[in-house]
Amino acid sequence: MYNGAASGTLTIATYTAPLKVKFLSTVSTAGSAGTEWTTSGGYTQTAGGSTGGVSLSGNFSSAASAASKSNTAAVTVTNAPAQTWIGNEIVDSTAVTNKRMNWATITSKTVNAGDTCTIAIGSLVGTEA
Amino acid sequence: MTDRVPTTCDHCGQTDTHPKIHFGDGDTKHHDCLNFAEKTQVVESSDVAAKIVAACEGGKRGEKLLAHIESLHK
Repeated sequence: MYNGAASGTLTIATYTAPLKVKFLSTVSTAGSAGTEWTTSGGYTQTAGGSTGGVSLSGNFSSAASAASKSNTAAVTVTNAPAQTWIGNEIVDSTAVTNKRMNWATITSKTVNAGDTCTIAIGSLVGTEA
Repeated sequence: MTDRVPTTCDHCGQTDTHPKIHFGDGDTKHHDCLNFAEKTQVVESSDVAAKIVAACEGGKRGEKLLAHIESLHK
């Protein structure tokens, strides 16, 4: 994956495990990340750093098929904060600034404090280049 | 239950402010209104979620269920 190095060079981007899922209240685009839920209840904000979010460690255990992988276990946040849930991002755990990899927009949901939010098996899809 | 937005359960159709479970781009339901596949996914993904589902199926509703959820996170 080209990492913006000098012309004529190819730098492979490295990612810091674990990958994790951010829960968003505004939509992400290629140009900018959506607004992440704040830390409250059962959710800890990544704040773009190495902690927080919901870890995907061990969650993509099946071999790639047709150049794509999807999560093999549901991703659940309990005691969610009162927020709008409109999407998710997959990021790595790079300190200070996460590397963004993928994002998905869902039909907006109103989440009350204490609710449970679940991303079903197969709903997070990563496509291998 | 003050300061909560009423939401509708996509299984029983009841609109209330009771704690619910939201499936991304899927249904919103009471914790005891899940179908077999939904319940299996949820309880296998989170021990805390499994306890919440069990509490709701055991009769906890509304404020009592919310208090139980909060107690599981202390």
